[in-house]
Amino acid sequence: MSQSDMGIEKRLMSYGELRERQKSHVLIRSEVPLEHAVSLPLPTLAWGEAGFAYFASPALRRPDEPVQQGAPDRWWVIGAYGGRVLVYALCKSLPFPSGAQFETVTLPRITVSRDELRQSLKAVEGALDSLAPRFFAHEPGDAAERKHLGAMLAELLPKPLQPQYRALAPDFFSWLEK
Amino acid sequence: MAGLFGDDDLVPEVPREVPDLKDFGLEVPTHLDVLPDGRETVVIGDPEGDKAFTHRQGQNSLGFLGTCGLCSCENVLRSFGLDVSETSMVIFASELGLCEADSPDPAQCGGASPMAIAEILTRHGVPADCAFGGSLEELAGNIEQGRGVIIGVNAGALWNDANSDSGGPANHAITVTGVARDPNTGEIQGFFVNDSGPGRAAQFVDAALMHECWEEAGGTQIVTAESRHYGQ
Repeated sequence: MSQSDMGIEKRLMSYGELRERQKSHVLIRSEVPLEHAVSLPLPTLAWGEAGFAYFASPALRRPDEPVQQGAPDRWWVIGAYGGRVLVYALCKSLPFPSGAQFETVTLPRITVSRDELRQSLKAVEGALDSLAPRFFAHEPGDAAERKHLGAMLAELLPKPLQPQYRALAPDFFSWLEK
Repeated sequence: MAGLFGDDDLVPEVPREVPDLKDFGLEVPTHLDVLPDGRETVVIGDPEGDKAFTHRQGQNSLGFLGTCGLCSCENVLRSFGLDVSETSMVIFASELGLCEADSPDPAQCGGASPMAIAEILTRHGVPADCAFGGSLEELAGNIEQGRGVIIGVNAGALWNDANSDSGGPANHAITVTGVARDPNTGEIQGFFVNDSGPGRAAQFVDAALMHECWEEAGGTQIVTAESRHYGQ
């Protein structure tokens, strides 16, 4: 008997919930170095069910200096319903699905305050909360909302990292830019 | 049974003099001091003495730079009396797969997960475990019991630098060396930390900032099971 036969419906995790869980997720505790930069999770349907895809890269931080971020060395996908790990891979064993290769990049200096940065992040999270269910349901969603989220992501994600995000969740970006 | 034993027979064999806990090195030093903002405080721990255990990260023969977790291990192990260095930490962790060592660029190597940090300490004879969702009182309690404590903080919050924020998660490891409490109320005023990122020793982090950079980032702490012996 399946879970739905038993009347159990897994709940779609909100973006805030996802990020909260990330703080203590067993995968993060055991596998991901503390110093690594972990990406924003992006929706994807590429792994058999609705999921949120992440990548992580070694990152060198010094106070008041731009971050040197290495090529992603791992990526994973968490189930959007329930939060189980669907895939976890080191890039040396299983490269990004697109096969794209990346190099160390220097991230542009952030000129806004930390508060402003977090407000932008919250706005993106709100938009993703609104649009991810449409994407997961193979629905087109509101075109203006999609365009707005695309613009926010282009603004928030550092330019040198945008190809990495696109390579991780190409289906989501295609849908966003339809 | 009466009459079989005299009074002296029933006196348990305990030493006449109870040894002072100091004899076991279990007493954590405390002293009165003044914080950088002028407030009076009781400092618990030995932040000044523990300055000797830290340095700026990246001082290892392999050229690994992402070594905040490994430098924090070095710090804790040295406070427990072990003769270790950043180089020995890097080699040990690399050989056991407990830190990142695969990148062709050594500058990108050295990162360790919270569980790997605990395992590095444990395998050096200082058993440790990692916990999440910690509170400032729990953190203070661990220091007051003389335990070695490494925490995962958000570097952007700690350094007030948006470049290192990464959206708020823990992304940097530091060592906690002392607690500052209000002498009258016992309220936590802040903590003293050794931070191998900029190479700052005995840096005072007030309670509000510690809440932001540590508690809000998940409250990750790697804590030794045993207490250290101060003065080693």
